[in-house]
Amino acid sequence: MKTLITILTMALPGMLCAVPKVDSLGDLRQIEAQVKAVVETRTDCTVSLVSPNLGASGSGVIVSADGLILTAAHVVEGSREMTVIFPNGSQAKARVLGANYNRDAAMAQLIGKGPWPFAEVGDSSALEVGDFVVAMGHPKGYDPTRRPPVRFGRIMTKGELEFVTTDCTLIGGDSGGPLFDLEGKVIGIHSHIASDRQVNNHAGVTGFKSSWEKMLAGKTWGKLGGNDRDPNRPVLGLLLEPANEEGMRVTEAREGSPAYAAGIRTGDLVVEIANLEISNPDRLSDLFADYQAGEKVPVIIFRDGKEETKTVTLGRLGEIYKTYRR
Amino acid sequence: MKTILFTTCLLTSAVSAQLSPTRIPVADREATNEQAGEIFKTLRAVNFEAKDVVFPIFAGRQRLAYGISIGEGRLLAKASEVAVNAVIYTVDGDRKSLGLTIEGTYPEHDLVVLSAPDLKAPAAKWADASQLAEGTFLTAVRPDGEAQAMGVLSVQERSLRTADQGFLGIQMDPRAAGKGVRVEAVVPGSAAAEVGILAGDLITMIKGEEVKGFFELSNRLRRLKSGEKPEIQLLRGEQEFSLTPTLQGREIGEQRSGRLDLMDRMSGTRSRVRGDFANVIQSDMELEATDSGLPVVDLAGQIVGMVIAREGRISTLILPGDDLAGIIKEKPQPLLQRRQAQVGPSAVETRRDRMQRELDEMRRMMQQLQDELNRE
Repeated sequence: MKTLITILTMALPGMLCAVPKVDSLGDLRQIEAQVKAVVETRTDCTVSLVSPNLGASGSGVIVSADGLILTAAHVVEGSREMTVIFPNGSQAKARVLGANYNRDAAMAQLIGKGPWPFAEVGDSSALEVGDFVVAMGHPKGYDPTRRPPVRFGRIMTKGELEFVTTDCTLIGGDSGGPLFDLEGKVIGIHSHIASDRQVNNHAGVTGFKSSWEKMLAGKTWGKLGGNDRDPNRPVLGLLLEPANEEGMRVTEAREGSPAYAAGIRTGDLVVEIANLEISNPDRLSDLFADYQAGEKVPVIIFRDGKEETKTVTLGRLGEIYKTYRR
Repeated sequence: MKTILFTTCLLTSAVSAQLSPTRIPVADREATNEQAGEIFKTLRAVNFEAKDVVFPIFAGRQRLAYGISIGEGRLLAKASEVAVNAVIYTVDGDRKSLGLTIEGTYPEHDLVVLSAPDLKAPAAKWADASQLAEGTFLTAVRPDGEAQAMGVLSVQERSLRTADQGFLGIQMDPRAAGKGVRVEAVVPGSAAAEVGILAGDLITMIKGEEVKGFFELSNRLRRLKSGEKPEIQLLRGEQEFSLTPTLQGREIGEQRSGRLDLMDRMSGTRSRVRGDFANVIQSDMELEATDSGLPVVDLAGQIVGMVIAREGRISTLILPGDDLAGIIKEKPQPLLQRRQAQVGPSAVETRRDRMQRELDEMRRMMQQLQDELNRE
């Protein structure tokens, strides 16, 4: 049974549909030992982040020896620099890098000589409902009388844009703090809650990975709470409808739209956008979470049975509206 | 020390409904419920001893709390939950109702000793909680042997009394960072004033360690206890010297944020008395205000403490077993004395308390309705 737990937490997507089972006290003791090990090795890299000018405080986690910090976008919002407070009470400064508001993801860089204590980054896409997880952070702000409080729980469900929901209870100040798997790898960053204590949402770390370089380079884009109605949302500027298992049919590509400019026409079958297969319309909302208007993306289409790759320069939703209203 | 209101970050779904689900899909809910069932079944193996020492406490048909047997027909319970203007009773293993009378209280700990001479129960064996590591699995055990909740030890033993924390009495700029921290003002009559610290002084070291900013200095001081005499290194103009103030207790309460309070309120009931404990451990066990008095057990089956308060969304407070063993060795104070002395918050729910509680309840329901709306 011990081995079963390890296998299950490694979670091979597609192969598993059962939640990890706990059949004996031995299993529980094994999990407890793992939780304690995570706490012991990951407390030092769970930091409190305070915006010196706004006074807002959240959390973050250091993920490299040279001091890269992952946090939530809404924690660094409006700040170029953050004060970092370590669990031992000492302080340092960090420079805010980029942020992807669509995923509530952000990065900051510690200023000063390392090596800093850090946690490895894991993989949130491999998580399954029922997987055991550990949440840490600095709830209600940094408190010198305690270390970051430990919360234990499970993946309750998985949402869009790589968000995961756990029953690790969070409260203000936890935002940006780390969610760990039982190996101590960072798998999520605390983002938001509902009144139901079992609904605590974390930005999955795989969502960070898909725009890692851009955040590292200091780019900031997207909108908290989804960018559906954001006039700056990047779009191709065409209308699609589900066609078959292969892809989606272009029902309209108007002249003046970025897609039209790239050579996409009404009637084309679109099978891949920005390296994502789009046979499943559910995935469309995730499509441009990591992109800004003005960036170029490859679009693979079929026309008269022949595959073609078009390069579309993404437009802004606000402008495309105008094109389609004409 | 300058009091600044630090706002804390965390979005509630009411603000960010689109980000991700506020509701768990039925299939996932069922799978996780089944898993929780397995875990709770497994926990019966560690709960069997504790279940014989825990008893429910009722007033009318309402369960107020639980109590833990300390032998000779006596139960230890949370004073502010059970000392009500009503007849209270417990129900023993044979489903027999037994009237409870108040024998005395330990007002400092919000504890009460209740007596039911006919109650046959062994006294709880308290275990030492001071050595438990953070992350240790804990369960709160009901009289039927089931876990009322399972969680981990979130924070080790500590005092929640700000008066226990060292207070120097200086104001400084929270943005201060770099070598040393500039004193902006000195609180009259404080430890700092007594030893002659002046506005404009630069504090460079505490107890031989450099301070690099507001937070470091403030954290260092709050970790010291009142009465401690840390050596403080200062720079006044060109002159370097050291002083040894005797720290006072902090009297400033924590700043309360309305948003944080809302997050706590919308996440279940809270105990009326939930702060100012001299020594507690904190757990993430999800309990309600009526669950005070439950014994808390580790995976070895030892009773490491008793639930003393539901503090809020993320926190249940537990009095450590080793402390309880010491407390009950002392004779409890008669209740009358406590009423006269008015130590701590009133044990009896006042009209105002009740109205506040009902208001909280309504706010929670409104929040839930708002969540529902956002889902539509």
